[in-house]
Amino acid sequence: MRSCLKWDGKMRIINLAIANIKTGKSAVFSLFVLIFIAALLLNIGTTVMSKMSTFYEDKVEELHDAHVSIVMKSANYKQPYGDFLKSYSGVKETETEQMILLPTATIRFDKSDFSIRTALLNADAERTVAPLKLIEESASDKGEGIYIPYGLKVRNGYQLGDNFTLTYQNKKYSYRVTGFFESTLMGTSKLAMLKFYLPDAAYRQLSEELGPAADGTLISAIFTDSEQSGALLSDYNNQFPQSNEAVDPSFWGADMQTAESSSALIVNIVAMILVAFAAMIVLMSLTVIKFRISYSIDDGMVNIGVLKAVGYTSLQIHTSIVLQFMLIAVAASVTGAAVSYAVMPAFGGVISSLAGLLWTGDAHMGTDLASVLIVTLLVLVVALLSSMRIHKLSPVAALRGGIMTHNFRRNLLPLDKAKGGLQFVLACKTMLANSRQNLMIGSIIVAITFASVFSVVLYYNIAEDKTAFFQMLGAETPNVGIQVEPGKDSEQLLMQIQQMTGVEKANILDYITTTIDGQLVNTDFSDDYGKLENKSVYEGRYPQYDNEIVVTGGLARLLGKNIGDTIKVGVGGASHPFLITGLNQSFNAGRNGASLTMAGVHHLIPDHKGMSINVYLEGVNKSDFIRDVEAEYGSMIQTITDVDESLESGTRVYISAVFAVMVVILAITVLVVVLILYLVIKMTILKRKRELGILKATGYTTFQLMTQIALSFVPIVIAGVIVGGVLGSLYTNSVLELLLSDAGISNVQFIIHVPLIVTLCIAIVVLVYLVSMLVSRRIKRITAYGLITE
Amino acid sequence: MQDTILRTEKLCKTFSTGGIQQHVLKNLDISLMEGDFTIIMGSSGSGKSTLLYALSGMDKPSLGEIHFEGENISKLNNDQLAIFRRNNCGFVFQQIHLLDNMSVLDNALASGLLVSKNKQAVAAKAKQLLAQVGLNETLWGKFPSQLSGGEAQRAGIVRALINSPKMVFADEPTGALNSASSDSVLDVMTEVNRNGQSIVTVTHDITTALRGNRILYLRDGIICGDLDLGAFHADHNLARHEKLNAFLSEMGW
Amino acid sequence: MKAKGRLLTMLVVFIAGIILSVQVIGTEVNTDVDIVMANRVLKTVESHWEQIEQGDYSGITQQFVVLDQSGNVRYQTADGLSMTINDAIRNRDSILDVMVEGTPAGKLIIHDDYDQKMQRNKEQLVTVILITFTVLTVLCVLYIIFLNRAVITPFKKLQSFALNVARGNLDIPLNMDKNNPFGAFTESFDMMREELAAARQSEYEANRSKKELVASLSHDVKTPVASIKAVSELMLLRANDEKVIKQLNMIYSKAEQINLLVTDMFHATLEELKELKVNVTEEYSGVLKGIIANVNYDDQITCDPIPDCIILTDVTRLQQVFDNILSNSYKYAGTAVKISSFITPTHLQIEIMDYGNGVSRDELPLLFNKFYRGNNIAGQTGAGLGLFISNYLMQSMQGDIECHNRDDGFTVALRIKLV
Repeated sequence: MRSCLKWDGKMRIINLAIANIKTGKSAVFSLFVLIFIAALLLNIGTTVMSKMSTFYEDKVEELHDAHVSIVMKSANYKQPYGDFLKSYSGVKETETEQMILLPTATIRFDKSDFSIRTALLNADAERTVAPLKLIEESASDKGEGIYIPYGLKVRNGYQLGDNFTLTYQNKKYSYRVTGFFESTLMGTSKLAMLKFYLPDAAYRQLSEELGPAADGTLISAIFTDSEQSGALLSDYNNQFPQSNEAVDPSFWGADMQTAESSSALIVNIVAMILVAFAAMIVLMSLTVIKFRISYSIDDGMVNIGVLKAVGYTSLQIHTSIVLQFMLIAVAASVTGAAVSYAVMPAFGGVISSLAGLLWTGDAHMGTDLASVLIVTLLVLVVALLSSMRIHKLSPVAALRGGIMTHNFRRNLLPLDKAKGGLQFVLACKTMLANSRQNLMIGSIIVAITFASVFSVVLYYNIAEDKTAFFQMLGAETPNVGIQVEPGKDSEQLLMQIQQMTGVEKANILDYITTTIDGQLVNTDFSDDYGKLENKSVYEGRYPQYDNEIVVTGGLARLLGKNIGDTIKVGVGGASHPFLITGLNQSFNAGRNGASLTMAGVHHLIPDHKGMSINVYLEGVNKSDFIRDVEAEYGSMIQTITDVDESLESGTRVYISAVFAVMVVILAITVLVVVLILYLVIKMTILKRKRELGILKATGYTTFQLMTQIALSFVPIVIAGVIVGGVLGSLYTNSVLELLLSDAGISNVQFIIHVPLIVTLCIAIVVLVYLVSMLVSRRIKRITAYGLITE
Repeated sequence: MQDTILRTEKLCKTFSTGGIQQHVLKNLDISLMEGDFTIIMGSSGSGKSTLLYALSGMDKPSLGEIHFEGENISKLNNDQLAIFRRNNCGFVFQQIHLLDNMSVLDNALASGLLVSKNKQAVAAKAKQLLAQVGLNETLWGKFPSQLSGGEAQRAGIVRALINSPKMVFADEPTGALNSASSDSVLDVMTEVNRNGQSIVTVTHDITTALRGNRILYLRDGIICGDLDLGAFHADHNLARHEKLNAFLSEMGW
Repeated sequence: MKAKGRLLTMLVVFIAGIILSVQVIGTEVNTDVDIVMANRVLKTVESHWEQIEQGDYSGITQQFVVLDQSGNVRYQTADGLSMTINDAIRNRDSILDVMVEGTPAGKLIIHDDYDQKMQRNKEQLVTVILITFTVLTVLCVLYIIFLNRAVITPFKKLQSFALNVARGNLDIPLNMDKNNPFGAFTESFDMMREELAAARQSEYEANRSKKELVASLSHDVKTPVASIKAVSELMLLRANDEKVIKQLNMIYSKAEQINLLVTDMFHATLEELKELKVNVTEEYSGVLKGIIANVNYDDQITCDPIPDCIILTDVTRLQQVFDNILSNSYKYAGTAVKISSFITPTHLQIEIMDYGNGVSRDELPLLFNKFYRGNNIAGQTGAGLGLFISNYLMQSMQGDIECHNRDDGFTVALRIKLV
């Protein structure tokens, strides 16, 4: 029960604070929940962000995996390549290994087939770099089947004992999955390379069957300091102009930083959204605390007067008020930090599926402490500031209930002239009289609506209508992708395909790796950019002439260049200056991307042909078309892919991540609306007790007064929702741009689906109305009689 | 013969605080006649205000019944009571209790529009009543805090009268006023009573009590004196005054 | 507070205005030539060298002139442009080489509209400054209006201050509601009271059992003493010897003395035991329901509704009365019991009716006597005190007890005083 307060003037301040907390349990509870949520989100967000920053590095360390890997056909491998890596500064360890390299093998991904470069390694061979370490292994078929990357389990649902089929050159090779391993560079399709391990016997059999053409060499390097690994590939390309993807299609190289940026992005977005939302909730809590302190000072004015009169110093009273909120803040944020341990595994799962690597959530004391400290400090500052005026209060003024100066306002909305029902007009009068409170509620509703709109827009664009999402990613969405057999005339094939019925348009879109100012740049080229569906250039225009180039915004910033500037692009030994005509963004290329015209590429590699054709269909059955093309031009085609389907399965993981974020934000929105209204209405009712009593005495029913209170919030809520909705509609894209700018995305044009947002806004207003009605039911307890006996 | 407008049967009101019951009204059987100006007197804590609010349907009795024109209002729920009050009762409080955030006119309309939806008619009536109690047009738009005590109380009376209630209940209507304001308020009330509305007033004040025609004296929750004083006339008031004094001294006032 | 706020707003607007103006002034005028567009012009001209006018120049805003190697104008988009290389240099125009199949074919002069750009920039600056100062002026005017009002308001403030002085509430009652920090203080008093009550109760219990012993002993002593008296009286009648008579008289008078003393002691103890002490309070008639339920052991009692009112009674004593009456009824009649009640002007009357044989007419007046026990007591224990005490208690509560026979049974009527 309540502690007994002693009036000898020596009562400890903490008792006063605890007594205060106990008198307003429900208000304390709602504050607790708000701060708890804020601390929880903040903690999860910062933990994920801080962990992500070293996640890959730690993984590489843990797996003893390579920082840089290069793969090529053994026929193209020359000894100096290996020596270059070995002697490269900062390299601690290198290894060269023979393996089977399949330039494009088809693997079943969920429901669709997916073509990817594949490396098959001998599981029983000795190796020091990236030793085979299974995280799951079938006990029965040990050493008989195939070991596949962990990512295929978490993303594509392969289980132990499943059948795993590789299709290479129209031949199927089936194995039983007997284990999963982790790999930072060759574990997901993101870096366009998957690695598998076969037991010795199966490996030899396959190798014999495929012949020497499929022999590959894997060169791996481990650095003492992972920071240094970034420059190796471009230095390598400069050193060996003949060994790169443009010259040798079988060439593949990747480093840890590319791997990191490719999958850390969405995790970072989610984490950033959480942190931003947490910040918003912290702000709301602070507003509520400010409001509550002001209220409790107004309400307890006489008590403060008594305390002062009895001999408490201002500082003591001040401390007791501040302490009260500090206790709540500390308790709530510690609980939030503790609960985050329970919630982290869910996020760990998302990260695991994104990165294809096992996420182990261990203790994160640092971020725990930081989030608790941040929240507590902010609460402390607000509490201190808003209870400042206790110092100025003289005991006499406090005992008299403070000096309230009446506002001589104009009589707004005179009842005899105002339009609308009596309830509504009275509600409006109440609303007009509480401008500060309205400002608070209004701004909170604006923030909440903004967040909800943001999350709904995000979800709509990623899960419902993906056009803008693909555009943001800079991913082209043709219906069918054709990879031309090396050595065949792709331009001729393109012409022929364009003639086929049902083909709306077709173009060549391929890429080469170039170097610009020492940066390795993924460079697209196309015969006709006008045929692209997703125009990823957000400033300027696509290159039209042979001396024009478009670069990603991130690269332009990095190089300090802008439209109109000239940059020198090199491939191998050749280089040529290009004029920047536009900035684009590409999720796949990350920060370093560029686009050239076909003629521009010829400046660098004469007679280079794009071997990848995008086909856009209209009014024809896709599978029929694929069958027809295969029948007619089968000899010229290496692979043909149903792009729609592979995109579908590729985005599934994003959809689930974004869906989770949306659900969290909407749930918290509802919770916050309920809590804030609960607090505010409770205080309003206490404040207006006298007025409500008078109205009851003159014959207003409880329901009428409830309606009045609910209605008095509705206009400000509608205003807030409109402002929030409009801001959300206008600035969701800007906020996303801000969030994604690190990922090389500078322009987001998500579709703002108005009916959806309007529905959302109406839902919020209805929610507010219902909650206010519910909360204001406590008016029932105010009797007209209570007013008189007071 | 006057009709009974309000009748109680064994009306009891008990307050319990911390497990201790305090019986404030005990087995009261009271009949109030239509058109009466009834004064309830008694020492502090005798239950006068409690009686007033129980009679007016502001509060529910703990035991017993209250019949208003034959209808048992003690069985109504809170909302039904609210509707009963708005239709039949007007209230005048010692602390006046005007709504701070509304003008004088709006205070009256906030009650008036509860009963009638006709804004023009209600506004016209409010203005007529305001004029009748001596509040001129310049005051109508003012806020309660800008009024003197007497003005505010007269505005309070207008609010009480706006729905033409059958009964007006007043709790120490002149308690917070100086004697000049007090007289003006009492004149208004006498006038209202002459127009046929029944009034029940709780008071400590002899001047106020003299306006009534029946005095009920309450002691410890029991009516221990019931004096028929006869109607008030400004001119021959001396006899009534003496009669009242005798009654009160008998009651040990 | 408000004045501060307004001053602050003014300051913010002023600073914002200054910053904005400085920013506009500081903005560098973009006088660079749009190279991307120039590149397009050049490429178009190059690819249409033979028929320059056939090139697609849509979307190109730059004005340009094309010269061939010998300086002749091949193409121009407008009049008044630089027609020669020298003019172009004077006008800071851009001059590009037109290359056709790797050899220079002519010059492209792109007109520079630097002056127009500067002009536009100036206009922009003027607009911004104008807007800023307009806003500032409006705010200034508003503030002056506000200041004006601030001079008038002190009077009004004085008035509202006076109104609020009366609101002071200096006394802090202990019965504060629970949502107040001082509620804890009051509550501790409550706890203290409870502690005290408990202590007193246990003390009372101890005393009571002692005194009950005395009371029952003293009552028990009366029986042998009565025997002694009876025997000594008998012996007196038979005795002839003077000395014996004297001694027997002595025995008789002393026995009588003992009897009186014991009776006195019994009464005194009873009084002390507070068996007869009454502490009347005002209670709801509803308490009767509880009292009746307490004695309704075998569901023998049917009870009509009890009218609501406030009665003067001591609940414990009234319970005792009911206990006595109903235990008598159970003992002597052993039938069902019916209780009905009604309000008389001064009392709440409760009739307790059984359906037994009742009491003989002769005995009725004696029922309430001390130690009186009826004729039909065979096999029943008792001291004959029950109805005596009940009567005493009812009287003490300003009530009454009364019994009468009915045709079909016996009625005890209790009259409990209304408040």
